[in-house]
Amino acid sequence: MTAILGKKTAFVFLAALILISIIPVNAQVVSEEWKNTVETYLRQVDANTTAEIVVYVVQSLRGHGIKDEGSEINEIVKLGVFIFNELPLDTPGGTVVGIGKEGKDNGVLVLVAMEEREWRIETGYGLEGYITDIETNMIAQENLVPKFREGEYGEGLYGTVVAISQKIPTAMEQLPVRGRYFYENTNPPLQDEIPLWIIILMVAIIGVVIVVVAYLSKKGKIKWEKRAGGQAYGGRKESSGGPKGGGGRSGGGGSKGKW
Amino acid sequence: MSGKWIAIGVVIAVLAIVGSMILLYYGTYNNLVALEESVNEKWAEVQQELQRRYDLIPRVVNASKLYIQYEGSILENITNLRSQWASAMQTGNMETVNNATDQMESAVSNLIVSVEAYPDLKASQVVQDLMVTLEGTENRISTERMRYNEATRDYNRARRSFPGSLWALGWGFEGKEYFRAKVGAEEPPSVPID
Repeated sequence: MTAILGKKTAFVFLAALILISIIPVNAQVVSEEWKNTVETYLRQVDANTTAEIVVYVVQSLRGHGIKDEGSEINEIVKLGVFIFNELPLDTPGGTVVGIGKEGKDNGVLVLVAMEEREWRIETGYGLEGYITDIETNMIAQENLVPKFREGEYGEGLYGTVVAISQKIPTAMEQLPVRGRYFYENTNPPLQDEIPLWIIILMVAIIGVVIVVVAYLSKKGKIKWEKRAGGQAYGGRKESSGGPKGGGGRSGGGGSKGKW
Repeated sequence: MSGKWIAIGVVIAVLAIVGSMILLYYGTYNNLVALEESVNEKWAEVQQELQRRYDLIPRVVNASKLYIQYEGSILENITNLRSQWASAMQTGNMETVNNATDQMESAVSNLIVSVEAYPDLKASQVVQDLMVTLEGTENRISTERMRYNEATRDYNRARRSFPGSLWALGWGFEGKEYFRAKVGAEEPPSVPID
């Protein structure tokens, strides 16, 4: 093959072949329409009550890449607690950690893992009195489970957050709105093992590349330059009076189930 | 004369060094105090959740009695372990308390799992609701323990790092113990369900 196509082309071709077979396609679960409906509704809830209800969808409990102390969290309750309290979440105002307003702890997380068909609703400290564990279970059984079984994920999530919001009293004061409420982790579920031949092929190609580069370097065909220190990771976006919110905490209350 | 300036320079330098050492000394002390307080707070949270579970168990037992024979069953076992736990808490002996807590927790997980095997029990809304609450409580306990351990880690680390390590014992700061991971991998004591 290399004789016919030339080394470079052959390499690119093989690399593409490997990449295509390993990198799966990302899939979205909820339609844009429903996503927007839910987002709009939740922003309204935030504006009226200051409570932050956040929806987080993962394709699977394995493969989302959310880690605590180095290892990925594969259990839905622990994942919920982590997302609620420690996972930095993107909002228009910047990155925010903690669902619910700081000090008020009035957050709710609705977490669903599509492949395992598991759901979890977690309430912040401040809302535990308004929405008990039993009530979160009721809400999920009545709104989430039936719709999800029909494949109506958007509708199920919408019904769920509406039911949750009805338990939250209207607030007296105005606080900055969170700005973003729907998160979808589209990392694909962990693959089963990569076939052995692909691994061998990859190793072989890497080996060839190393040899070639070493050979060419020695012959002076490749010059190695020291690059000037590039710009490191850009750092947090400054929020300039835009939506912010966040900072709330939960103690692990709520419930979970399957559909 | 330059001699005078040098002398002044030296005095200022010495004052600066001494000053910063004093600040370091007190700063370290205050830091340890703050960290220890955090550990105590987290401990109180754990206690609160343990109390919640303690209060909840009799309700679960009573609701389940309708469906499971009490005598010789998992319900009786939990009730006994609960009393033992309360007594252990009275003694204040850490090892006794830990043992009693482990045993009671194994029994509670056992109960949660066993409910699955009882269609009548499972179908009861009352029992279902109580199970949800019980699971919620278990989860809260686990979360608060995790936070307690994190606070303990920060405290222990500060205590053992320089310069705290020099003075910690003198100040009376003792090392704190972590919550051991529950011996969950082991088989819970096999108590017949009925």
